[in-house]
Amino acid sequence: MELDKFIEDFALQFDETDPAEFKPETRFRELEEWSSVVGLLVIVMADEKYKVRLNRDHIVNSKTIYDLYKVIESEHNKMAV
Amino acid sequence: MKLTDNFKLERYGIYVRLVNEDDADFIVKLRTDPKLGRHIHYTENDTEKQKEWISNYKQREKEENDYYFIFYYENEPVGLCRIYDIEGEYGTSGSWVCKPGLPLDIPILTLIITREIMFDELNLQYDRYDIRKQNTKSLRMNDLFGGTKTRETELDYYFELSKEAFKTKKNYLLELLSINR
Repeated sequence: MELDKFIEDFALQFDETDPAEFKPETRFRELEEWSSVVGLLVIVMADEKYKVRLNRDHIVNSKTIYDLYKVIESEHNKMAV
Repeated sequence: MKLTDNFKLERYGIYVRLVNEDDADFIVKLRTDPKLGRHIHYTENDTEKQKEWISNYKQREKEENDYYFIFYYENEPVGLCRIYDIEGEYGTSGSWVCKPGLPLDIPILTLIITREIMFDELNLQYDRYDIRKQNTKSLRMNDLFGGTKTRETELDYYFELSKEAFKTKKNYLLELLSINR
C-alpha cells in the first residue's frame, strides 16, 4: 500500500477541491467540501480498493489524510496475518 | 397506504415526524444556510412565507400526495426530506438537506429512513427522481443506493429505484456504516 496512491484515491472522492490541497498533512475534515456524502464515498473507496471497513471512529480519530492512511494500512495488515 | 398527521418513527437513533408550521424557522435557517452549497433549491429567507408554504403543503399531505419529514438526532432537529408526487406505485424522494457537522452516518441514515418510509410504510414500489448531470456526488450516491437511469435530457438524468434494489443496497450501506439492523 503506497501513500501517494492512497492520496490519489482519497482525492478522487472530491470534485470541487483543488487537487494540490491533498497532502499527507491535510486535515481532511476541515476541507470545505468535506461532508457525510464524501465521508461515505471514502468508506466505500476503502472497502472496494483496500478491502478495509472503516467506521465512524476511524474517521473521527483521524485528523489528517496520513492518519487515515495509517488506519487503513494497519487494518489491511491485520487481515493479512 | 397513507401516513397520519401524527406519524412518527424512531430508527437508528434518529426520530422522524411530519413537519408542521412550527418548524418553519428551522426549515428557513437550514435551507438558506450558505454552507450547504449550490445544489439546494432556492428558499426565501422569510419564516411567515414558509409557514404559508407549509399550510398549503398540509393540504397535499391530507390528499396523500406529499409528505415532508423532519429528522431529529439527540433531540435536535437536524434534517429534512420529502416524498412527493405520489401516484400509484410511484413517488419521488427529494428536498433532502441536513445540518453541516453531524456525525458522518446521520445524514446518510436520514436518506435510508426516507426510502424505508417510502417502501415499507407507504408501500410504494418505485422512487423516481432526477439529478443534475453536474451534481456528481449525488450521482455517485445514486449508484450506491441502486437507482437505474431511465432517460436523460441536456441537463438531467432521470432515475428509478425499485423497492427490491433498495433492499439489497440498504444492507450494504448499513454494513458500511456499522449499523446493526
